[in-house]
Amino acid sequence: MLEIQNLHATVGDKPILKGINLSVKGGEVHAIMGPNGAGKSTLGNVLAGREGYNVTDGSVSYQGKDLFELEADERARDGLFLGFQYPVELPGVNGMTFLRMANNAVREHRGEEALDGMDFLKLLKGKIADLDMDDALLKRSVNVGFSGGEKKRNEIIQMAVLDPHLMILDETDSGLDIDALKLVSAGINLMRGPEKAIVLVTHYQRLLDYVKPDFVHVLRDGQIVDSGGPELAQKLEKEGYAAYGADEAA
Amino acid sequence: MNAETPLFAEQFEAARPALPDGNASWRQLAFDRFAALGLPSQQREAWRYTSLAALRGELTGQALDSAALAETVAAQKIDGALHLVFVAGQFVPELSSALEGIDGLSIGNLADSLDDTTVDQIVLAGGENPDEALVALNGALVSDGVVVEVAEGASITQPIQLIYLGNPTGLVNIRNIVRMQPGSRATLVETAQDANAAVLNVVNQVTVAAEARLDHLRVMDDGAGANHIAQTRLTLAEKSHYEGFALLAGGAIARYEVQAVIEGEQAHCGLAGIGLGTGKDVRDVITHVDHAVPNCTSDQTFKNVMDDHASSVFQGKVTVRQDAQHTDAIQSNQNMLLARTATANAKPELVIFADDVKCAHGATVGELDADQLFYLQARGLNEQTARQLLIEGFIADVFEAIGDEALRNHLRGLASTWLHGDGWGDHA
Repeated sequence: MLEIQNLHATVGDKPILKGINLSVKGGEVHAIMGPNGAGKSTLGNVLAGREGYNVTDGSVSYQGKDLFELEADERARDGLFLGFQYPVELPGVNGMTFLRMANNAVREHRGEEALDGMDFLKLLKGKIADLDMDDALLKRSVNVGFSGGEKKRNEIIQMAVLDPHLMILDETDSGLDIDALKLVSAGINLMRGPEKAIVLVTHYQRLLDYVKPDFVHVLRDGQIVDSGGPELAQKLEKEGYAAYGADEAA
Repeated sequence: MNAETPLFAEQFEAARPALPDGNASWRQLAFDRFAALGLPSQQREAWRYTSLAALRGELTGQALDSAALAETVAAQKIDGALHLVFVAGQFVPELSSALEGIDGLSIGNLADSLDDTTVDQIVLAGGENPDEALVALNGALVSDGVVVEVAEGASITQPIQLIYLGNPTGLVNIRNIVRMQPGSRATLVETAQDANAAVLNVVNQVTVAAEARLDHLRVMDDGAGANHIAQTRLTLAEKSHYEGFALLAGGAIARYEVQAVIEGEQAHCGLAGIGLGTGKDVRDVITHVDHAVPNCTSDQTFKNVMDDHASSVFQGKVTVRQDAQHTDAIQSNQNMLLARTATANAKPELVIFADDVKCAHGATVGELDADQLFYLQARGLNEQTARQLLIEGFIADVFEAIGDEALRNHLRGLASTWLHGDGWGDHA
């Protein structure tokens, strides 16, 4: 699904990613953990194609294609989903309208028919019921005036509707109380499947109590310095990142 | 006397025979005042951004074939409204609704309604202020318009829609007189969607009596190269309510001026508008809300989106006279520039003589937000769609000023169609 080789990237003139190697296959859940400033969010943004993040070396192949040949919106239509650490507020943009447009963009790309308002509503109701959430958020402007938890729930609803293949979830657990964390985790677990891959980017281990990863990687100063199974996350929770030379404990 | 006056004098004389009441002395009176004032130059603050060069050419228009325009007119008609169609400044009954038989509504075209009261109202408008020269010119050359009176306590549910179609070579002068009697309600919509007049010069004179309410919408979506200059002169009596909305989207120049005087307590004046421009378009809004008495509110919300070399202007003034205690006046002008070559001119002005008032004003100029764009693209929307969605989002709340849902959707639709037109929003 995703092959990252020797990825180097800068933000402005500053090198942030310094040779990342990572292989993610369908059906797998990977967790990328690391202290603040390790480059976790940069990795997500580079993969999603955000402007201002410059790839200086290395390659990324996604579903056999060169990812960097694709614009951000093409990547999204091709099934790459970035769950934002800070979902952006869009004043005046109705949540329902936005999601239907996004869904139709993806559907048309997949050669499926665009859905009209009624059919989309049907699809949406089903997804929302699966998530045990409600559609109140979608009746408002996207993320405007939402609490931190509501913003993250909104990301999960979008993910469920757009049905992506590769999900990169950037600090999706931050700012959530325990009930919201359970709800969001359940939403992520619903997306697991043999054709789906999930990359959880997180500072803390607690999300991993609810979404069990197959692999855990430690990102430190722009490189993956350790990899292992779920037990690695537990170790990090106890010992912090000090063993990897970081000043800050988790 | 002014250097351009002879040119206009010639045209005035040539036009008179065809005008209603053409040889009447009141027209001469209006013309003399215009001649004394002269065309406002761009040295005047209120006219700094609007060039009247188009008025300096040949302005005698040719007659248009009304029948050939039937289709264009039909496309502009709002369902369920009472339609009055003006082609090249002339009322066309064949394209308009029947005007009789609505309880509480007296309505007729101005050319056939020129009684002494109406004539006085026309001639006296604008006074001796050099900025009002076009009001005087309108008085001298007015060809038609509407005279509406809504009877005391009457509520007219059908919107009254005036549709203007211009003449590519002509100066068209329309005067509308609207009298809202105590406790009455009505909605007036002016539509200039393909009004391709070299210059369309509209003057509205509106009086809203005690406890009456007028909702007033203007669609200024004229064709390419057209110039549309309009002014609404408004007086508000006690507990009355005026809610105005203008969409300035078409033509080379769209200029709208509102002069509102609040004369009765507990009245409300709401003014809202959206300017959309590309190419070298000018979208010029001038407002003056004069709070003459205590305990009134006013609210002004104007947003502009300018692309390419277009420029927007908002010169909004609020006066609170010494007696007008407990005035609550809000004024806001927000601008989005889509190209480095586009311009927004924002000049809010508060003149306050009373000491116990709440007045707020703000102006902002910004551009499309890169984070917002990326968020939409990261969900699969292409750049153009993402930009359009954000622009529509930026102006979305202004439409809330339109109380009637069907009309609100109609106006939203017009703005949306404009925003989805070719060549718009591509000048990043």
